[in-house]
Amino acid sequence: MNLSLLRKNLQESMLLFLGCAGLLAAFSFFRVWIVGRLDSGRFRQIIDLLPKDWERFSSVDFEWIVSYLGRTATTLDEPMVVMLVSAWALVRGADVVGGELGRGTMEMLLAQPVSRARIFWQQFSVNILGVITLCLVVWLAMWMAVQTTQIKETEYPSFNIPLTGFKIPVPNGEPKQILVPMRDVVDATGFAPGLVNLACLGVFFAGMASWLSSNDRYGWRATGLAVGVYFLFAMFKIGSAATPSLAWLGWITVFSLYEPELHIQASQTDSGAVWHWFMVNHVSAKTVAGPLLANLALLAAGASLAMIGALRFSRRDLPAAG
Amino acid sequence: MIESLVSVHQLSKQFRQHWALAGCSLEIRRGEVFGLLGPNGAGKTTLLRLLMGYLKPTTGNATVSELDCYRDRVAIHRQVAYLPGEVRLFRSMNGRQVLKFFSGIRPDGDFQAALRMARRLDLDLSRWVAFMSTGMRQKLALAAVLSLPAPLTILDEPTANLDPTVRTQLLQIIDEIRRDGRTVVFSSHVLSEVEEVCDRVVILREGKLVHEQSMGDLRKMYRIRARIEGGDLTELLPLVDSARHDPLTGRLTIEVAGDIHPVLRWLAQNPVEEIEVAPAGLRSVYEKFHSVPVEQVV
Repeated sequence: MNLSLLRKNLQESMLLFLGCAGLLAAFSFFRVWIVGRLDSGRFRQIIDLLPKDWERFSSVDFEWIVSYLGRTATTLDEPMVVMLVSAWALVRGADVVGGELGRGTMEMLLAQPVSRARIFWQQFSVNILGVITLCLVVWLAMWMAVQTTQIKETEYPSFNIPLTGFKIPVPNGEPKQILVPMRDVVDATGFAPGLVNLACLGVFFAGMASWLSSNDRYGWRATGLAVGVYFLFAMFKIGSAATPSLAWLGWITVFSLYEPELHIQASQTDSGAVWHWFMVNHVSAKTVAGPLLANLALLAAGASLAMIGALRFSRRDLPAAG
Repeated sequence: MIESLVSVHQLSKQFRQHWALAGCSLEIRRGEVFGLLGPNGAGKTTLLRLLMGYLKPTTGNATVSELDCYRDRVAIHRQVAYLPGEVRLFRSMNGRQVLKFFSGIRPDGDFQAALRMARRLDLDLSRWVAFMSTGMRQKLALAAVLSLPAPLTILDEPTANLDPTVRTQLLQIIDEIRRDGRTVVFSSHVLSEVEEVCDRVVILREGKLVHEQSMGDLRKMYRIRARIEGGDLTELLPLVDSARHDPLTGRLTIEVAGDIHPVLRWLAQNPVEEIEVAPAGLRSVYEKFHSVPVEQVV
């Protein structure tokens, strides 16, 4: 670890990091807070109005999504959250080689007694550190929202049977609305499997963008290509879910391995589910990659692409600035 | 025998169909200032980038202190201070931060020495690189490079964009590096600068090394211009390196290396009307190789 190089990498990425972190924190807090504004009964009515066919766009059943945990957990599947974490990973990854070459600063940098591999891996490490920190920012914002938000619950009059602990509802009693802290119904530590999945997706995009960058001489072009691939993957995911004849697209999109709600739901029913290689998706009744397989596949693909990128950068001719 | 610091053997670099450098061989001795001359596209920068290990040679090899320039590039960079031809620095830093970065990233870096060099080059270090002029950025990069105690300093067109005062200052610093026993490789288009600081130069043309010139020998060369009516030129030819005579105007141009007296004696014995004796200078050597097609000089 070269401290001067580390300081430079941190300095160059600070503005983007602060921007992404600020937006993620604000959005995640707001998204969970909004869940508290809409009580479950009304949300269920909205969900019931949706055609049953639409359930195929969701990896978890609507019954679970109606719950407070389900509705807060879907924050991790919001395009804004996925895009901001991916944007950080893609932009910083694309800057590793192409950015320095494009700005013309690689020449002076490589004249120092620091290997190309170290320059590559150190910037990649800062990228991964940023991905992990952004995921923690999302979790912190969601935790804060869970801690501070109150939800409306309908309470029916009842009376306690002494010594038994049983409550008997009063048949003709008037129900009343009460405020309950969200933390009583949502445990924020339950989001962890989804956040791990989000971090693994970030690692994949960091590796992919770094590999694209190692082949290029312009950061903007590497960024453009990486963003293009991101949207292509997103289109494949939508296509595979929307049309049965295009289901095969699901095999070639990385987003098939990104199922944060599914991982959270599975871990709620079985705490050991995060270590499963495969699991059954109750909506599609298909066997899908379990949290362990999905996360390891994302990490392995990201690390492999980064390694190919580092090798390519170490061996390629470097064009002069201009 | 003087030990070589840099050895280049049959070094070539091909980009697609174009040979940027073709079969270049040379030796650079410890403690000398070595010049690279040639027009744009002659292969000077390609040669320097091959020495820095940025490019993989197509054929041949180059060594610095017997370390291979491509395979052992990190070890070589510990011994080299390099200024690229096109200086670009980190725009998000100010001058002081740039010097701190370059002195921090190297084991031999010295921030105080870099600050002293910046003061010598009259540089405002509080300004952000993004708001510096091209000349200021060049001075900043020079301060970072010249403050290093590296055994080999490679400067690719270092005087480009510099004002005359800083240019003179830079040539003085190069002279100080030489007196310190360190080696400088200096690439430039400006013949007068090369003539002033270099001990030896090579001239490149279309990727080929076409001439090597010791500046010591060059300083013993003279160019004599005269107008002569008649006279037996066959007596002159054995005394000179080259002679051109225009019978219509009577103009005679002679180049002599070494002892000039026999030629002056011959001129005194002949009907000379006008005479001008001057050191030959690098320009006359340079023009020999850059005013005729490449086939005639290789």
